[in-house]
Amino acid sequence: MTMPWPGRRWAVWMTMAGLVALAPSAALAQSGPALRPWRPVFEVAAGWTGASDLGRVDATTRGTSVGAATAPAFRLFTTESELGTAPSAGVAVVLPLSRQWAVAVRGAAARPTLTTRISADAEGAPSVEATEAVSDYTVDLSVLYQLPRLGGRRARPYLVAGGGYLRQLHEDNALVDTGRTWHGGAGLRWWLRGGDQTARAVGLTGEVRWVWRTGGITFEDGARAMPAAAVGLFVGF
Amino acid sequence: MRPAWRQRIAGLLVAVSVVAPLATPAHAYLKFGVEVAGRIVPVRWGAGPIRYFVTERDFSGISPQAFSDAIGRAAATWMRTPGLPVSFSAQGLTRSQPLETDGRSTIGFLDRPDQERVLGAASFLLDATTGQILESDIYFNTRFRWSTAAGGEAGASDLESIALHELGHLLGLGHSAIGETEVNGAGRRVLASGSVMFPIAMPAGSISDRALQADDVAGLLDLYAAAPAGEVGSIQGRVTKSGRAVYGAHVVAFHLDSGALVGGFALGDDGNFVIGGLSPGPYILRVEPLDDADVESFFAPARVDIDFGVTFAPKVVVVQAAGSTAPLAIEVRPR
Repeated sequence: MTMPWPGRRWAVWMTMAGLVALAPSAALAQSGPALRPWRPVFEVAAGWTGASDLGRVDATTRGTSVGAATAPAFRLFTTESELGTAPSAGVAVVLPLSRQWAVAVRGAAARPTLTTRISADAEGAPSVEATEAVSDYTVDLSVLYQLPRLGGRRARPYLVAGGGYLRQLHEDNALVDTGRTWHGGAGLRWWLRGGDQTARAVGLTGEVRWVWRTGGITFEDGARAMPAAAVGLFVGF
Repeated sequence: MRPAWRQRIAGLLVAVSVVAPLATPAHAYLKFGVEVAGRIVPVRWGAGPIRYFVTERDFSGISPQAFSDAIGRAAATWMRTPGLPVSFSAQGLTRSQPLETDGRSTIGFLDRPDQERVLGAASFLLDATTGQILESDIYFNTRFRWSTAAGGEAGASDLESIALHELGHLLGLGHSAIGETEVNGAGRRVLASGSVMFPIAMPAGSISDRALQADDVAGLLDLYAAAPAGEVGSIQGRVTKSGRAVYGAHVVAFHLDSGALVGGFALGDDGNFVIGGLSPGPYILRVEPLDDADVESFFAPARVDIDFGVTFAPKVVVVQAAGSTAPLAIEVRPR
């Protein structure tokens, strides 16, 4: 389903509001391993970014008309473009503000393929796909809220939301497009050691996000959405 | 006799040299070229105003003033292209006739019963030492009914639309092949065009060709190297069929961001093409045979290969400002 842009922005704000609303009850249930306030945590992660629809554009020429300044459009062919799924790599620095709240700065890179499907040619050319490789970079700022531990003693889920900067380079770095990105999601932090306020913490993270993007490489107005997921290793000091 | 097909052909009157399509790959458009000191140079005006006169002759109820106004509007439309080193300057009325070699660029009606399918044409007088245009005349054939009515007139050809096309020739542009036609009796009927410089006119009564299209602007910017530095780029490549060069293939670049269509031709002996004057961004390339108008409307037909099917390049081609893409190979489908 494609949600118009105001709706998507509303969804982002609702996610943020949800995080805040959850805070009091979750804080009361706090126990088990946790991030140490004001002690940074470093993360490296490998992930996956889902495909996003970049829009449909028709190649049109001026059709014939009599007595009209604006002639009807004649469609020469149709294009539908998509940025495909791709593996990604990222690094992040998490700064806990308390045992529940943290902020994180994250950078990630991916190399998806832009695929444009060409069809409905006026002269009957068979449908084909044209492609190019895209370099995709994001830097974002997130707010994390650590939820009470799960059944296991060492794992705690968290919610995450934020926004950032998008930079996409066409193949061979021929051209740069920039945009914005927003995200909301949830993750799980699993302490292999530490997390008890005394020792250095080491553990694993897993996170799923729903990402909205505006600008960047796109051929229609409005935001586009895609899922993303990542697993990583964190070290806390 | 092809009553439904009215073709505009650029006539060439050359003083001392032969004008032909550029033998080297054409840039973004079909430009005229002339050999000067052993090399091909584009035919164009030197910097400064292009002074033109309009004839006193009235025709078809169109007064000299209405005629002059229509020409002025068409000239102003071309001059809205930013950065051009040339401009138009109306010099008033003259008793001279178009096609007279008198050093004056003259625009007017002319009776051409021998050109029964030709709405209008442009001629050139060139400086053989530089390739610069010295004089260019335009005539509108009185064998047709003409109109300057603001909203067009059923059954009459719109003078401003045809003037816009002929002034494109006067500036040095050849024909564009971005258009679709269908066979209609012994002639062709235009279904659509992506350029004012398409050689077959819209039906009588239409005024939609009073506005330039992306292909026209790209051609003019390329011809006069008028785009501000760093704002346009080009695509280069080679068209082959079964590994052999295709001569005369029409290559159209479609800008995925803006929807602009700009055309060029593979005119090198090795099937090379260059399309210049392109805004930066990602493009889809479509290669088609030159079969929507008479090949003679563009260049000598002897070597032109139209025996292949429409083919798209397998890559999205990205144009960067002030640069050219890496050469792209396009293998077309044999019919």
